[in-house]
Amino acid sequence: MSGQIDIGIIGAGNITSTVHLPIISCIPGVKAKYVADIRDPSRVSWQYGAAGITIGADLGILPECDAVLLAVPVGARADYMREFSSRKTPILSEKPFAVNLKSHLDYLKSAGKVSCNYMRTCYSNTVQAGLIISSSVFGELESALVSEGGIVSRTGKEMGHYQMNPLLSGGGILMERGCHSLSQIVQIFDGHKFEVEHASAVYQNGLDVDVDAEISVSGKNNLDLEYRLSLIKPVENISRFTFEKAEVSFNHTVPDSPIEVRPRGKRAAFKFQPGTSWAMSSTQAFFLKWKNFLDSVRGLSEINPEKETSLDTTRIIEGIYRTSGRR
Amino acid sequence: MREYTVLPEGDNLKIGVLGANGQIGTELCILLRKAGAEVIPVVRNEIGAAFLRHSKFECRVAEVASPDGAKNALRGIDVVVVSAYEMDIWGTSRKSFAANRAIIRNSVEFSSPGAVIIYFSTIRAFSGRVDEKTPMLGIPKSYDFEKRSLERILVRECMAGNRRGYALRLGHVFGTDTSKARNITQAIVGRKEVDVQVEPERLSNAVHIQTIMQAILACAKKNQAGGVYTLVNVPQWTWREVLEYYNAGSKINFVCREMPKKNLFSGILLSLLPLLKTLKSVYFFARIFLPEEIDVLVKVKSNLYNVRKEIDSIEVAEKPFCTHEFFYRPAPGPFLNGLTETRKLLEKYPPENSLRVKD
Repeated sequence: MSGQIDIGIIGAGNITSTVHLPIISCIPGVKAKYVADIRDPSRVSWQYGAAGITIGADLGILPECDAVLLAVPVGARADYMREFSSRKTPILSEKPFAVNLKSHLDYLKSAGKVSCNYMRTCYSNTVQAGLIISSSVFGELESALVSEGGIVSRTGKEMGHYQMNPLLSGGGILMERGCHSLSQIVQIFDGHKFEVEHASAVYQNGLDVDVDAEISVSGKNNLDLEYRLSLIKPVENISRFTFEKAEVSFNHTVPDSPIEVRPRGKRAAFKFQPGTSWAMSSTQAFFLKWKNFLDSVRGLSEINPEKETSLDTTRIIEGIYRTSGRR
Repeated sequence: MREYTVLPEGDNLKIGVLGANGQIGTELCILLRKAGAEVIPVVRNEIGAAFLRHSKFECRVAEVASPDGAKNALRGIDVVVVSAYEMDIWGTSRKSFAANRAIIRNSVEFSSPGAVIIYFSTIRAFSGRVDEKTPMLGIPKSYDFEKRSLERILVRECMAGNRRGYALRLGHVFGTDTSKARNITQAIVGRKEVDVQVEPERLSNAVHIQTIMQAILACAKKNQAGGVYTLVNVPQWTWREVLEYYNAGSKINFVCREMPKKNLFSGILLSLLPLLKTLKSVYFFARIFLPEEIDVLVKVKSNLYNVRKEIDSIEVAEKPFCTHEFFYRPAPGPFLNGLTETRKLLEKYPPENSLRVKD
């Protein structure tokens, strides 16, 4: 496909107005054709020269476009997936991709080109960690720990925010933040298989607020990965990989966090600065995700839908919810 | 002197903390409960309540900026602590300012008759009088301006509503896991020797959450006149005392660099600098008309600014630890009477392990 790519955007919330619309407006040859929402989106759409459409019951009124961004809560996404899959419109969905494994597989079956905005997979340190692991430069990988969260502080979210409603959000911290770190784990251990061996969770009003899981990783490397997420305990944001010869760690929530390498048995560590060919900021990560997606829309590259939508992430999330006894 | 309803003594005191999931609010709730009060955390959403519920608090989820929310949140509460503060990613906006005004108004209107209202202001309300880096002339910082306005609203509303109201201008707040405490511990803990760029005997304006807790109880229990008070540690700690409190065996060297003396001209220039930046393109055009002396002066100042910025961004091992708070003057009063020495409070109520990241 040559010429301008018209993007339809479903959802006029914060992520659309602060991230996606600005990024789209910076990509040559791409234009936001419309922004649609169940509430009047014109306040957001006019700023980028896009039409504003208030969505009613009939999704058929949504105009044809070359690709669509679904930036609505995961629990409200099914109808839009169906609509645009039936039109064979390439879809870039916000994360998490689906509420459960069955929905994820159903979407993949019916959709054409589809991707999900797991933008942290473009973070420089995440890409570099994957290279360190695949190269085995520090010897055999013995264990890994990934933790994220910390005692919840100001959220900046109002009372009726969709994240407070498990039907819309799909869950609590595991869906909202866990899907990101899990997508990074899946990226780092590309080509490996994952099995949730053990999981426990604390729930409040249907939202998981603390998750502790052991995930067995098998393939070129075989190990048990400790996974912790919490809003109620003071956990660190850290990914730590213990190799035969060194311990490698970094803050996977920060795009340009340096990678610290500590030789085993030594106190002193040295730091690698992130490479500049990958994302060093979240804006850059969003942009790279869009670039990959648009390259596939233009036919310049092929994307693997299972990998792009991180099917393994959904598998792991479902495994954790099932093993921890979520109803 | 106005007559106020005297509140229940001791353990019968019901204290509502608005914005309880904030950095201050969380630890404050824990400390107030330890001191014997019945604490009701008020947060805006379910996720915000997660840790407090886990710590066995009965939280109320309500939007206090709305009348219905305030009615729900404040029923039966003797002391309303307004730790909540609305802002957006850039700080103060028209929308957030309106919300903050509403929080204070609703806190007074919908609180029980005789309730005490305690609002957390900040020593930033003193603006250039305490912060050497804030010019006395020129456009005020919106945050400083907002805080002063909110204090005035509190005093006015409390007088009209016959409530005892206190605006506490908090100094730099230190708690188990507050950003200021983390900043200092990250800089000094684990290092054999560290240079710190501060006059050691300079008064720090530090206030530990333990002292804030005690101030709240003092305001609630004693018939002290309402009004605006500065709240810092008792007695005021020097920076030496603050750093030694967090020190875990490092050798601290105090190094001082003289702050450049500000005169009226440099003060005006500093205030106009943000405006000058936005008029950059106009200036570059105007250069062809401006006298050379002005052009040279602007070039020198601009070059100095850029050089300083570049140097500051280098991480050099010898660079001393320095933070903006080191350049504050001691905050003036008035101060609350009769507060216990902060050190004694810290011994009685040591830092909260449940808030600490474990190694």
